[in-house]
Amino acid sequence: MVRVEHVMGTVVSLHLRDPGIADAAVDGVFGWFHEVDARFSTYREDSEVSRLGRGALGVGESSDDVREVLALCDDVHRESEGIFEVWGRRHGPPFDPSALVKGWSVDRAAAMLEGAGARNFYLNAGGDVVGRGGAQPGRGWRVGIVHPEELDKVAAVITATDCAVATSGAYERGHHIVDPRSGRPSSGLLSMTVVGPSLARADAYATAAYVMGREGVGWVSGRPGYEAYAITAQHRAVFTAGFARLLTSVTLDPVPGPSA
Amino acid sequence: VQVTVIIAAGKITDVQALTLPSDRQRSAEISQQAGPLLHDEVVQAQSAQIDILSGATFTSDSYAQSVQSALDQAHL
Repeated sequence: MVRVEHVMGTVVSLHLRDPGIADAAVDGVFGWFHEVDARFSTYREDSEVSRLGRGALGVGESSDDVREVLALCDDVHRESEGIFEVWGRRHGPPFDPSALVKGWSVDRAAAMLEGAGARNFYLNAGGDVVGRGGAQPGRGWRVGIVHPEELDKVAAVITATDCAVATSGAYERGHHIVDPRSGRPSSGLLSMTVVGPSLARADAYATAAYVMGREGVGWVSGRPGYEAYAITAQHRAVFTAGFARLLTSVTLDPVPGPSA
Repeated sequence: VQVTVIIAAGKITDVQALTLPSDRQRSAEISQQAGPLLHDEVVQAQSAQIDILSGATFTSDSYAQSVQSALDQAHL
């Protein structure tokens, strides 16, 4: 079954290949996303995140979930030597953990589905993906990495079973990722994709590594369990050896070039 | 070691092992695609038989035109 809902400022798709999973479990997952939206939105003045940002709520008074997100943000902030920053950026709200919350909420949703007995499914939240099991017996999920300039095409295809895949790029929302060291949009890459066990981290790592540029690929390869694939402004793909092992050779009709 | 993977038309056609140029940590194994990512090496999403699309965040508005939307429709 497939369920698609507009939530968290994007669209979440669930593809569930196991029969007999209770509707209530699926309802619970989408209910969770709406709850996350209310509690973590920077667009809602009364959300926990907005109240934390303006000092109306202390960290100690926050819910366990908010503190879990804060701890993860702190981890990635340290690991990235300050490039991943959720507090006091020059533009935007005073506290904005959005680059991690979406992935974190999808990790939680995947655990909820597994708890309900689901084994073969994926969740895609606006391009950030968690997959479990595979599309059919004996085959993992084929994940296409969008070409950053031709959004109806894929630049690469990987096959993976239990995985999270997150991509950051300048396209779609404009230059929305800013290097906190310069306050300017990062440059040098068209997109950065990170694969690993947790979408919360993959999402945050992709954000930080995109800012770092080509060096970001090496940085991600130093995060245990995570792999990276970057597309440079010169249209070259730079990726970790571990990512190369996930790359899938796809047989297809040749696509004519623009001058062909 | 550093590994160079050459991809043409979506297929891995060659793999070359190179020595790591610096004393970077063991885990920093970086592969580089040797050839430029040109139009004729890019795959039409429909013909790649993919199940899922990963990309920088699409919004509620841009979803309708996305490949993920087509994948959802195909299974709804």
